[in-house]
Amino acid sequence: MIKDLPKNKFLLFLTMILSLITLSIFVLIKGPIPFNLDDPLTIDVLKEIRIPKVLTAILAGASLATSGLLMQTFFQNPLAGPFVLGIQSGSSLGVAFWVLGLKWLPWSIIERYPILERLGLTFSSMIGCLSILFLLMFLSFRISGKLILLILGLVFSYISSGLINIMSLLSKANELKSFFLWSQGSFHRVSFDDLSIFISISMMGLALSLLLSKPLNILLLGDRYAQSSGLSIKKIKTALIFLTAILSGLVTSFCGPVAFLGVLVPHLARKIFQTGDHKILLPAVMILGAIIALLSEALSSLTDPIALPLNAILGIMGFPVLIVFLLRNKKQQEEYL
Amino acid sequence: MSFKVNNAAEPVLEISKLSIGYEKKPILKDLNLKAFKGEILFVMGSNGSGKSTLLKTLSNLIPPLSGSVSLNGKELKDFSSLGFAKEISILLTERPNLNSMKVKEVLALGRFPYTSFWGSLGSKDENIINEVIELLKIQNLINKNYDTLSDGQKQKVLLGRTLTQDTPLIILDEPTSFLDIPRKIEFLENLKFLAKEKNKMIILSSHDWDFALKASHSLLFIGKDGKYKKGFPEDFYFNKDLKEFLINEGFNISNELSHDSTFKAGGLKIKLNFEDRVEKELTFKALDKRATFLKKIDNSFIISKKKDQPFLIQGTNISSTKINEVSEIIEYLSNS
Repeated sequence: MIKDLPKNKFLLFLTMILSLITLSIFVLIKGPIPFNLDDPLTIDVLKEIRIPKVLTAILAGASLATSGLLMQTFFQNPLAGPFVLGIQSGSSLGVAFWVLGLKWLPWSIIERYPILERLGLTFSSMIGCLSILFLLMFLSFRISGKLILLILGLVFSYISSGLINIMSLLSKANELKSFFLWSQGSFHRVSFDDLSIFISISMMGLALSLLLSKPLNILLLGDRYAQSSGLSIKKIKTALIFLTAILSGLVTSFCGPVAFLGVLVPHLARKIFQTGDHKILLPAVMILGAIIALLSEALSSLTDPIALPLNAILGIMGFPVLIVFLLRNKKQQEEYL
Repeated sequence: MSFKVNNAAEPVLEISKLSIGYEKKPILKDLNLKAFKGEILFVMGSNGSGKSTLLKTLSNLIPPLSGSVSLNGKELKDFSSLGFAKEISILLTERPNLNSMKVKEVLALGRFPYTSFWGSLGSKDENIINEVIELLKIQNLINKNYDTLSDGQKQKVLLGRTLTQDTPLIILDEPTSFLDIPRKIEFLENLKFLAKEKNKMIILSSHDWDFALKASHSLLFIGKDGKYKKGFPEDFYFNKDLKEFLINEGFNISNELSHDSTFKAGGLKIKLNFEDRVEKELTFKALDKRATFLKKIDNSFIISKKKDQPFLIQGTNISSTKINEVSEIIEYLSNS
C-alpha cells in the first residue's frame, strides 16, 4: 500500500503526523497544573487526566471522521455525517434510555461493577446509532434527492430530543445532571480505567474500515455499477452500517454528541489530498480527525480558567469552514440538491 | 438473428422466451434473440418501451420474470458476481457523484474484478487503462477532478471505466445522449473499432436511427404495445410498413452517397445494380459493415433491385436468386 503512495502525498502524511505529535505534546503540557516532571503531582495528572484526554481526543476524532467518510460514501451524499444525519442523536437516545429510562435494571448490582455500567452505556449508544442507521437506509431506498436525507436526519434529532425531554421530566436531579454533562461533549470523561475499552473498540473499528477501502471506492459509483463490478452490495452495506454504529456509538457514549467533526473532516481531506481514493482518504481522515479534535481541545485549554465546551469550539470552527467549502464550487452545489 | 458470423460460430448471448419488467407487470414478453462476437446490436424504441429494463435484465441488475439468458451456454443467474463482472460491463444513464475522484482513479475502478485485496494496479491493469485513455483520447483529462468535467467529458470517462473492465460483452444504456455531433462520430468510430478489432459484442440502446443505421449490425425495435421486431437496420427501411415511421424518426441517409457500384466486401467482388439511390446506399452499407463476416474466397456477385421489388442475386455459375431482406443476402453470401 505504501509503495503506491506518490511522494507529495507521503510528505503530506508526514506533516500531518508531525502536527499531531506537536499538538499532543502541547495538550499534555498545557493545563491548570504547571508541568514539571520531577513533581509527583504532574505524573499523577499526566497519568490520570492528560494522557487519557489526549488518547481519547485522538481516537474520538479519528473514529468520528471515519464514520463521517463511511456515511458520505454509503449514502453518496457529501453532506452526510454522524451528527448531520441524526445518527448521534440516536446514540443520545440510547444513552438517555440507559441513564434515565432503565429504572427496572438491578442498579445496585451494576453500580458495583463500573465496567458493566460503562459497557451498558456504550452498547445502548451503539444500538441507538444502529436503529437510526437502519431507518435511514430503509428510507433512503424510497426517497430521491440528497437534501431529503438530511431533513430526515433533522427530524430524527427532533424526535430523539423530544423523547429525551419526556424522560428528563420523569427523572431525578442527579440523573439529569449526569446526562446534561454528558450531552455537552468532552474528551475529559474517559478515565484511565475506561481507556482500555475505548482504545480496543475504536482501534478495531478503525482497522476494519481500512480493510474496506477497495469496496468503498467502487461504491462511489453507485449500487448498480458496484454490483456489476462484482461487489456484494448487501454484505458491504451491512458491514458499513455496523462499523459506523460501532465507531460513532462508541465515541458518543464516551464523549457525548461531538458535532461537525464527522462531516467536516472528509471534505478537508479530499481538498488537501486532491483525491477520492479511500486507500488514501481513510488514513488521511483518521489523522486529520485526530488533529481537529486535539486542536479544539488545545483551544479549549487556552481559554483557561473557563474551558469552553467542545461543541461550542467545533461549531464556531467547523460551521464556517463547511460553508466556505459548500459555496466555493457552484457546480457541486447543484449536485448536492 | 438470422445470420451467422461463420459456420462454426455459436452465439455468445442467447435469449430465449424472455419476459421482463417489474413486479409481475411484464413490459416485454417472449423475446428470443441471439448475438455474436464482434456484433453491434442496437435496442431501439420510444421512452417507456422497456429498452432500459431489457439492458438491466441482461446486466443481471434485475431478474427476468421468466425465460432465460445465457452467456456462452451458461445462464446469467449461475454466474458468481465476480465471474459475471469479467463477462459483462455496463454504462448506465445515471451520473454518480464521485467526490473528488481523479479521472485516472475512475478509470482504475474498472479493474475492480481483477485487482487484489487492496485494489493496487498491476502492469497489465495499467496497460489496459492506458489503452483506453488512448482510444478515447482523454490524455488531457486524466489528472482532472471528475466532478469538474462537462457532461460530455463525464460520459466519456464513464465509458472509459466500462472499457477498462475489459469484458467480451459491453452493454451501454443511451451512450450518445450527452454527446454533440463530432463526439458522436468519434464514439461511432470507437464502437466499430471495439467490435471489429477487439471482437467485442456491444449492445446499446438509443433513440438515434441515423446512428443505428451507421453503426449497428442488427437491431431490436420494441414497440409501445410490447411487440418487437428484430433484423438488420437496413431491412427496417426496405419494410414498407416501417419505412414511413422511420423517416419520421430521422432515419435519413440522403447525404454522403458516394461510392462506386462495384466494390469488394470480404473476398467477394460485388456489383450493385439498383434503381433507387437510397436503397443502393443502404445495401452497400449493410455489406460493407459486415465485410468481415462474408466469405473470404474470390467470387463475384451482381445484386440488382427495382423499387418495391425483391433483390436479385446473381453469381458466376450460379443462377439468380430472389431475396427479400438484406439479412438474407448476407446469409446467402456467407454460406453459398
